[in-house]
This record gives sequence, C-alpha cells and structure tokens, in this order.
Amino acid sequence: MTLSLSTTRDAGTITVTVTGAVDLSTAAALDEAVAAAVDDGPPSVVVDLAAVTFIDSAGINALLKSRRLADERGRQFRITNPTGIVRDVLDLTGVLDHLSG
Amino acid sequence: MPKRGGKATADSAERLRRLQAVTDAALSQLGLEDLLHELLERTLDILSADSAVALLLDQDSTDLVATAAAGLDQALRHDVRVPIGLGFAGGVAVRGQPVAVEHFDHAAGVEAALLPARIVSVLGVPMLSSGRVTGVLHIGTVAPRRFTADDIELLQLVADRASLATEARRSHLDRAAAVALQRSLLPARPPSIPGLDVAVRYVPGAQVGVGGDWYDVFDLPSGHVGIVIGDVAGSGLHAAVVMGRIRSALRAYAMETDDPADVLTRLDRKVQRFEPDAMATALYAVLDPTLSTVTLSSAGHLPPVMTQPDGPGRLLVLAPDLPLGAYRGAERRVTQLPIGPGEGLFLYTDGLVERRDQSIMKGLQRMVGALHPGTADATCDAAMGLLDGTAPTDDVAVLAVRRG
Repeated sequence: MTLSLSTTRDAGTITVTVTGAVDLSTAAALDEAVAAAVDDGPPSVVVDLAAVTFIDSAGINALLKSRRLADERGRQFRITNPTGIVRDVLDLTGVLDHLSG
Repeated sequence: MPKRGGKATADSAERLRRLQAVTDAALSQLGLEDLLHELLERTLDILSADSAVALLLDQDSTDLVATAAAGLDQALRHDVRVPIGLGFAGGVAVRGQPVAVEHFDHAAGVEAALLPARIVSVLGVPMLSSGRVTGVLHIGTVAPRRFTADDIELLQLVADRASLATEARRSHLDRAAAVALQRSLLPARPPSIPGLDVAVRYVPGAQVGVGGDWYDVFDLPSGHVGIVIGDVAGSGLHAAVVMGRIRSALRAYAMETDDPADVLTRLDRKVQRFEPDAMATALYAVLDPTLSTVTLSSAGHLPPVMTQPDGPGRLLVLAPDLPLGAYRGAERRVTQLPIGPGEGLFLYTDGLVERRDQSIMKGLQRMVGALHPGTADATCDAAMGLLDGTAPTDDVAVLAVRRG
C-alpha cells in the first residue's frame, strides 16, 4: 500500500493532502510531512484526508502527534474531509473532534 | 571484484581476497562483540595497522560506544563513549565520510583510551545502514602513513560488513528480547478470580512481530477487579518496553482508586511526563466486589463487547476519551453498566477487526456476530477464528471475562 503526500501553501495556511493508506508502514512519512509543514511556520496547518482509503492506529497516532506538535509550536491544526471508513475509525476512537479543531 | 578507478594491483587483490575470507558463515556463531573483534583482527592484518576500533551508535543516538578493539596495548576499556561531533570518531560520524589524518593531534584527548599517544596516523570510516550512520570504524598506525584510496576503500568494505552483521544481530536480539518481555508481561494463564471466568489470547503480527498490545486482569485490595486492554503505538522491542512500563503504572494507580477515569488520568499524566514520545490507547474496566456492576473508561480504544448468555454480543459504544499521551489534561469519563449472571465483557485490540478491504463497521459487526454464548475460552476461540488462520498484519490481544 502506498501513501502520497503533497503540500500546498496559501496565505496563512499550509495544507498537506494525503492520498492512500495511512498505516504502520506509511505513518512515519505523514508524521514527517506534517512536522515539516508545522516547522515552516504558518499560523495554520490543515491535513486533508479526502483521498485516504484506510487508517489504522499508527495513522491515528501520527495525526495526534501532529496536533500535539502544532499545539506546542502555537499553530492551529485540523484535519478536513475524513470520509467513510476513515471517519468511522476516528469517531469510534474518540479523536474526531479533537483532530477536527 | 572490480575496483573503482580500475587500478587494482596484485597486492590489493590479495588483500581483498583475505577480507572476503571474513565470511558470515565462519563468524555467524560468534556474539556481536566477538564478531567485531575478529573482523578488526583481520583488518589489522590486511591493512597493516597497529590499532583498530569499532564504535557503535547508542540507543539514544547521542554517543558512540566503543564495542570492540584490536591491537591496542591494553584490552579495551568497555564503555568508552565518544559524543557525536567530538573527537576523531565523533567527527567521522557527523561527516558520514571517511577521514584520514596523517599526523593526529592528541591534544583534544577525548578518546585517549582508543587512540593512544603512540598512534600517529589514523583512518576512520562510517558504518552505514540505509544511509544512516550506525557506527564508526577506525584504524591507527605508529609509523606516519598517508592512507591511500585503496586503504580507504578496503576499510569501508570492512565497515559495510560490520554494519550488516551488527544490524542483523541487533534486530535478531531485539526480536528475541521483545518476545521474552511480552511473554513475561502477558501470562497465557490469567489469575483465577472466584466467580469470574477469564480467558486471554495474544498473537504477534505478521508484519510487526511482537508489538505494544497488552491485556491485564487483577484483583484489588478493595475487592474490586481490574480488567485492562491496551495498545502502545509502534512495534518491536521499544513498544514492548514502553508497554511494560505503562502496564505496571496502571496497576500501581489501580491500587489507589477504584475510579477508572481517575486511574487513566493519572496514567496519562505519567505518560506525558516520562514517555513524551509514547502514545497508547487503553480501556480500563473495574468490576465491583459483587461482580454485578462494571465501570469503564476508554482512552481512545475501540468499543468493548458485552457478551450475553443467550444470544450474540452487544457492542458497547462508550464515549471514548483521547488516547494516553495525546493531549495534556484530556477529560476522562466513565460509563457504568450492570452485568447479569452469564454476561461478560470481551476486549480486543484493533488488529482483530481492521482490514483494508472492509469498513471498520463491518469488521465490528462481524466480530460481534461471531461471539456466541459460551465460556470465556470459547469466546476467545471464536474471536481468533475471525483471523481466518492467517497471521494478522498488526499484533492482536483479546481478553474475555464472564460472570459465573
């Protein structure tokens, strides 16, 4: 399973668009991409999950860590467009609201 | 073997041949330190050097630790540490490139034990694994020497070999240690608690081997019974070690209060303070001394199942709070439910229900449907049946309790 990441910048927001499956083998890549976005210093970091097909606990942890890092650096962080299976998992594990900002 | 630049001489060809004699087959029976020592002895011979030292990067990646040496006057003093960036070896590690010095300056003195004053010329190369520096190998000579491109290439070849052997052995040792740790922390036979039927299962993941999943059952001084399932993020030895610490911290807090939300709050505080990089989900349930009421608190864990004496199970969709380590001062709540005779709880980790080809909801439905009435042991067997006899990608822990 592969993961692709792209980052776009718009005024005060960096958006990381995630495509594919976020699991044990790809979560670190997401972690790094978002950490790089946070380090870039925008007021706000958005992680777009519209094209994510699968997420497991490693993926959720990567998102929670991202949010934690953003908090520590005083940046806004939120995920957008979790759909289907991804939304269900985030909801069931009680992290959806926390990550949606 | 073709040589870079095509200037292989009979001499260097012979040296290469001797190096090739350092085969994994001949050395595979040796422990890591002995193996490195043997490699270094041969290196002394091949490169006509007077000292050779192998330093490996420590777990925290801050220091190089001298692990083997050959040709020095005295036996290697163990635990000689060279911080990254300091001294000769520390410099080689930072540059990630070979460094040759014809007249070494001993003034800094950071590593006098590894490069005695008699050593005049030194050559160091990095040990690399997937492009990452994992250690440094260096040789020294008493007579001044200008190291040649051939010398550097040969020493790099030795370092590559040492690096491969080190990685292979490390991961083997890590796996063995993780399995041993997991076994000691997850007893296959849970403690017997009067009036409560308890069963457990643990399956390592095909991809991750042993991971950070755990279960626990214990009776408390107050007469309450604690039941835990949890999943520390990550895999391998590190996850298993962190799991061990979180598991025993939870037990300690459980002795102090019967309120599961309170226990998880204290545990979360401890994790954030002492395991800042860790994250874990956990579900902690406390049965009252009569075993007729259960109080649950969930730190981001998937919903448990209430098993029934006369029908399929029922998913308990509690409002889960945030995982441990996720957010400072996360709010934690409890849900309280009655448990009738023959009813029970089934707890599991996500590896049991998460499949790429189906939604999590389907996975949960399938699981609940499979948990027919029966003993705790039968419930665990039914759950394991969901894995279709194939090893799950992620590790899986399950725990079933049933009121007698």
